[in-house]
Amino acid sequence: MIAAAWRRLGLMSMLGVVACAAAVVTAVGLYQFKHEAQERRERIVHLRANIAGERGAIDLLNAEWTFLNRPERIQALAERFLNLKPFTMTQMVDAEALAVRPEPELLTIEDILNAAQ
Amino acid sequence: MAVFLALYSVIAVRLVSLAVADMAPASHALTAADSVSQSRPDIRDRNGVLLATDIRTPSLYAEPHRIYDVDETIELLTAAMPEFDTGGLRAKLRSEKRFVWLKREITPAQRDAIHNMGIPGIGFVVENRRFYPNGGLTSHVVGHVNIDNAGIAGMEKYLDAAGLADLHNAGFARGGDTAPVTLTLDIRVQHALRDEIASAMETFKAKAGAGIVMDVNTGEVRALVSLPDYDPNDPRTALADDAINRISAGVYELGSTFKAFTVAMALDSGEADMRTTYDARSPIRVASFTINDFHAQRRVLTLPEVFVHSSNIGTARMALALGVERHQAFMQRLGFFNRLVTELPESADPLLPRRWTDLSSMTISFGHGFSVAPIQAAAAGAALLNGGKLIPPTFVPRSRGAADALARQVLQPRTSRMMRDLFRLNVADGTGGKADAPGFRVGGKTGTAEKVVNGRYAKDKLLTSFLAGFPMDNPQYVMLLMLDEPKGIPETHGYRTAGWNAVPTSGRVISRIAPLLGVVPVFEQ
Repeated sequence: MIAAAWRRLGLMSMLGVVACAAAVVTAVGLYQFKHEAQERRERIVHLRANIAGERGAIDLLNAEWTFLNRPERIQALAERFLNLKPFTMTQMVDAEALAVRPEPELLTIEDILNAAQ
Repeated sequence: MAVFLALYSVIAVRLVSLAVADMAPASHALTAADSVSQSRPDIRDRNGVLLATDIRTPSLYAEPHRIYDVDETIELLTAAMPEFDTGGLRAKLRSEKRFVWLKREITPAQRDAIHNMGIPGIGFVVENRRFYPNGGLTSHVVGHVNIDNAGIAGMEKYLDAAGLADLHNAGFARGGDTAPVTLTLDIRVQHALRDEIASAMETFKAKAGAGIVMDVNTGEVRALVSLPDYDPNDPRTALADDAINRISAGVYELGSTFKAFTVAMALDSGEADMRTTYDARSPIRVASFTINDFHAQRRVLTLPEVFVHSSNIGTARMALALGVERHQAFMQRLGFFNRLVTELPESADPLLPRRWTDLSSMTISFGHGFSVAPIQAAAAGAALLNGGKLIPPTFVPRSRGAADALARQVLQPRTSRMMRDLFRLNVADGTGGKADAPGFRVGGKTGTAEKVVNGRYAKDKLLTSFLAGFPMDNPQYVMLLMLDEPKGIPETHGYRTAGWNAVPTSGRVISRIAPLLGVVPVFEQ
């Protein structure tokens, strides 16, 4: 029956039907893709705006952190709340001038197991 | 048939082109905010501490032609921000302009309040605002900007002149995409210097104070303080008369500190050495002028004694022995005849005598009748200590190699070695005694100059200074510190000379900053 239909339509009309169908399918597919791309694009714009916003917030926090760490402020706080004094130069010594420290004796797993037995 | 084929091929081509064509890159639309105020690079100190940064703040504007009800708008705006002046606001909203600023830089809370009212014709633009987290601490070096974020002083102005402004005009440098700028300053050293000068000003009731710390081998400025300073976050404070940068934009007669240069000249000429003697038994009289000594010894002094006792008579004879021409040539070689240009736009020409006579030579030998910017004296002082190389000071990092390429040999290395010994001697047992920060082998030369008021020297108005270097066995840093009109106090037995104020202050500064600068203390056993 289908074959009969084919025969009745003729070659050119058949081509026309196939081309129409193909056009509709591609058009729908393309619309789909384009819509998806549009959505992703919007998302990228949104994310970039968010990143810019976060960067701005980080800059602001950095500025605030530096503001709170002003040497002037730290010095005043240290003088008020810390029971410490600036070190004097006589407290400074070259590491090489220190007496040699004895090597600490390190226990191995075997030592521990032997001791336990 | 042909028509159908043509139509199909058009559709096919269009489909292919739509599928293949690149999409426009996803980005924000360019908003008004991007063009209104330029974004500037962060400025950091040499350890990366933030000195200046941009923060984004909203500004409020109106488009008068889109406002329906001016009175209601005013009512709503003043409800959110009571500080608005209704008269001014009405004039702005009724104006024929298409765009008027109502208030620049409002707080986020105010922005939200107004935003929620949804008033037509009122909007916000996010603008970059410059913020200096350390406030006045580095104001004279970093400088500040105007309301449009254009640099108008200090390094901020330098950055604009060095091409940032062109970049902006071409439309670049919008969204924080400019690399941070690093300076040679060390915020810790800067703070220690400022803190000590501020407390010295208080102790000695001085009008002003200033100081500079410089690397003698590279010319990098580690700290520059000039008090009183100003808050760059409030640029109006920069307009105060006494808020100038005394180190680079002020010129002063530095008094006896200049003797270091006179002695260096005598030694460098080869005509004097450490054993040369100078007759300081009696004052020198020239015309109506008498040159006398403050710490008069009334005897024949050797060259080191002239330096340590800071004898005016001795240095005057030194300058006379060499003659005016060689004195001038030497001072010119040290760069004292020209304005010293650094990155800072604020600089000043030295004041030279109009006619350089024998008498001028004599007074200049002990630092009178010749005014220079302190930064020049510090650079020349560095040359005395670093082996005789005059290196232009800088505020942007510079390597030793780059510095050597720029350096001019102005003294023989031998002269520099002798100057180190003299500087050290003067602190070990001379007028600079109170500067001896234990372990750091400080050397230096004091200066107490009477200030010129209405063309005459005022006996009661002094400018005291101390030119120091450390450590003297291999100098790394030079420091010049000065106090303007310090007073005598009971602790100094009423003395106001440099040895009692500028010198001990320098000693305290050095014992605080030398460990920060990586100078290792050495104690003789």
